Amino acid sequence: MAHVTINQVIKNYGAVRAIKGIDVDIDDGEFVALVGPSGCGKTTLLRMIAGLEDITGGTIEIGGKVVNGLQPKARDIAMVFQNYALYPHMKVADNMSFSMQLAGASKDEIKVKVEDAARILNLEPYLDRYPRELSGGQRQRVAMGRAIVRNPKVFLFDEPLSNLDAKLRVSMRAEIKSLHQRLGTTAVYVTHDQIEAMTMADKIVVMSEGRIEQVGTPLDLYDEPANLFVAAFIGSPSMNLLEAQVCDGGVRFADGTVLALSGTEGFETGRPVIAGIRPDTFELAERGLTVQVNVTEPTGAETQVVGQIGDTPVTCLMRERISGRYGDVLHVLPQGPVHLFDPETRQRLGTARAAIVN
Amino acid sequence: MTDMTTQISAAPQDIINRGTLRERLEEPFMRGGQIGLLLLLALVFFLPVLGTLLTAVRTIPDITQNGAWALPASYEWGNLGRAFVEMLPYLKASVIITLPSVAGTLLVSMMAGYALSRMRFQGRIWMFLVIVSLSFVPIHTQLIPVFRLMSDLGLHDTFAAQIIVHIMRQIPFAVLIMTNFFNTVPGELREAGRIDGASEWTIFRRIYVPVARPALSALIVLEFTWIWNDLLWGLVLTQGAGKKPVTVGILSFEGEYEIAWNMVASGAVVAAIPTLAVFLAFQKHFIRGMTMGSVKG
Amino acid sequence: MNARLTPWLFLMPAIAIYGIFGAYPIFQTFAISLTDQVGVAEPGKFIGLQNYVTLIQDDYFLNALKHTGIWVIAFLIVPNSLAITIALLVKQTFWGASLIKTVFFLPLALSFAIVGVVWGWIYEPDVGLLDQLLIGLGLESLIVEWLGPDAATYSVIAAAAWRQTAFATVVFLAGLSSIPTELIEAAKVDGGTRRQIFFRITLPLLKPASTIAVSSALIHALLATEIVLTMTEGGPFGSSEVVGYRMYMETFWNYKFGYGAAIGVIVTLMTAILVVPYVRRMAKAQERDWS
Repeated sequence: MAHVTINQVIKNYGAVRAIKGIDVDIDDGEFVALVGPSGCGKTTLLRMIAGLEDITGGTIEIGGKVVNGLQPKARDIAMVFQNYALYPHMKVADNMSFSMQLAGASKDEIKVKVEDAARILNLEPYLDRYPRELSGGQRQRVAMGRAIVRNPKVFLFDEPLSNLDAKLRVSMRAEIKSLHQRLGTTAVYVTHDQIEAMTMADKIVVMSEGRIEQVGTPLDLYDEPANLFVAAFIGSPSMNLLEAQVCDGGVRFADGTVLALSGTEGFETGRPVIAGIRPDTFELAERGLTVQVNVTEPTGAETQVVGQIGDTPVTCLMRERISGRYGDVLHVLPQGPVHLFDPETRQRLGTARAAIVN
Repeated sequence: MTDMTTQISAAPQDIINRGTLRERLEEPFMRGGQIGLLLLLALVFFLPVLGTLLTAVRTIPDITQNGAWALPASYEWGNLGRAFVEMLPYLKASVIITLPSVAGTLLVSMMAGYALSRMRFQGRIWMFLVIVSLSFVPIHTQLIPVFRLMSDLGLHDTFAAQIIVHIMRQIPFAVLIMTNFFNTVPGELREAGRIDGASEWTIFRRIYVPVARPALSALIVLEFTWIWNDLLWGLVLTQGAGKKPVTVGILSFEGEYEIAWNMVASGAVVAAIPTLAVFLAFQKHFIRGMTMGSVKG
Repeated sequence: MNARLTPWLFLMPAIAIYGIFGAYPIFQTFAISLTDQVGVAEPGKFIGLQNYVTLIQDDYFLNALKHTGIWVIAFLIVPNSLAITIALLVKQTFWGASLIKTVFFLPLALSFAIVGVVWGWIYEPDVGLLDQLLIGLGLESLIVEWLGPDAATYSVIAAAAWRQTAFATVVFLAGLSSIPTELIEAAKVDGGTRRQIFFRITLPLLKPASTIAVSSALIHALLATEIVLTMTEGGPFGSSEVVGYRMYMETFWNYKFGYGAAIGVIVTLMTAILVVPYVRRMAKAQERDWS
């Protein structure tokens, strides 16, 4: 167990700077998700923590010790790879104990540890099988078993669920989370799937283009996204982002509709803003924002309306069962927070709420 | 007008029908023709082998009286036995040369292929290109200096000289094959090994070599055949009969028996049996090795 | 282990063995080709390009060069077109496919020494398998002196082509198998005729296989030493000599090492020119794999 401190870390690939000076503090026992679109540098950062990539600048500390120059084996970490990286010619038990064999552990010790890990992961019946004889979910568990057996200071996960089907992914998500809560080992988890990050992590680091966009708890990020990138990235379906202008007592959208808001008083009238409205906050109304429907997608519990307000594509998640068709028109009003962003700096300005419309 | 429109509208339908009908009629003919042609080609292709086998087990009078293509009047299996006894020293030499050559080639090329495929270092692409190019170097560019070098080293007319030269000649191709194979093994295995605390050598020996088994069997079969079948080095690097491989043996056998066709054929059969046996037993491996980026034959 | 040194440690055995016994000799061959060395005992003296000048006036060499030209042309056309036909037939009929395949692949397992001995005797006048076969079929009129001065080169090529066809068949069959059936089916659904599908879909997709088959044919045609050596020893009267065999004879028969080395250099240069496209192709593929 240990905390991990990432301090001003930089990574260059030739002339390209892939990681542009990153600071993250990971507390002992914390589960941190690194999330962002592909190419944002999250995997590179993880591999730098693992010691699989050189660190161009800055320092990485594990348990208070700078590990920059250390080989992976000297860092006391374990890693679960995207494709599991199970040794195909070794049985499950050998896969899990390979590191202990190399370290010269005794047979008895190995046996105890492997059986412990197998019990935790429900892998006991499979110890004598080869990886090719296992299902995707079982292989995934073996990869985790290999990490558990080492009892490391830090677990590193590199998109470990991306090769599983949707249903399995949901159950493995819960399994990894409960495993972490039981073992209490610090974990760094890379994913491009914000739902995975939201559901599993104590703390999320949102990255884009080699920089950190925001660090916070899942609900912090959801409730108070620091900028447009985080606003659009966190939450599914994505937040709707509509151009507007501050007017007296609210904002005026491009199509002329005025939305009465409380909380815009501080802004100067006529100031351009981008209003961020989560899809699930919309409710049907007599008057309000006019949505031209493209399609409606019923899921049973709710209906997702995909359409546009003016020229801006929007998604609304309605509790009513709506059967709109292409070209139909709906009127909706947000009943939750409306996030306001600066179109220039793309940073958050504040949160407003819909006022009662008279 | 009405006529024309009907025609026009009917035309596409018609074409489709006629097309499928024709194809349906054609199908059995085509298939029959194809099978016939294939069998004919196979027969022509097989005639040299068949003729050799037939001749090997006949007597000379039988051949001269009944012609080469008649079934043997009597089966003289003893021909093969005699040929085998006479070929034995050559066969032994070939075994002594071939086995260490194959083993050496595999070891050296696996190591090099692993480095080229799985490690990132300056000059990697360059190194790879050199190796690809070297696999095309004709034996003729090396014959004379190698002959001289081996004489200088006192290795002329030894097995060692032939073994070293075979390994040298096979390195480029074998490295190419191993590099291409290791390219298909996920690099994450090496990283997992590093995190598990394995040294580079341990990763190579305990992870990559076992994983390479399918590629290895293909390469073994291929290299065995090539090295066993070499003639030029066997001619150039040897003097006495004891060190000459079976390919050289069959030539002196031919010289010795001149017009005793049955013995020449028996000698050819005996000399070909090892590679034929390996080929028939491991045909799949052989073909796979061949197509793993091969340019030889 | 030092991380920067490690790759070179793994490469070292290969580099060392090839360097000493392969690469160094290549340079030496160039050097020797500039001398009048005779035999191994003592080095010759430097004579510049004299060997090359002599070569282009040497009737024996020019004769061999002409035959090598015939080899290259014949080897490019005959085995490859035969092989592509066989591969397509095998692929389409399936009938007894694995046995048939074995028949076609079989010659690959035979050494050129064996092929030479067997075919040398197939071509034997009157008692040889070929003459006997033609007599049996009532085609006596076709019989010529197969290994005589007029036909020897072509007869040797036919024997070597037998083996080369086997190789090319393997390559083309593998190439055909790597074409996804969906592609052919899609072309059928799109209304392609058999001929269109072959020329517009199958043949272009066989390009990688063709490159391999063609470069292999080129290399074997340029060397052709072993089979000439076993079948005809270049004869009669030099009618089946090729440059590779000439080099072997000048060196190990006439002991003109310098002169032989010059021929070796020329063979190498010819090979080098012909394989450049192949090497470039490999380089591209590799860079793609590694990026």
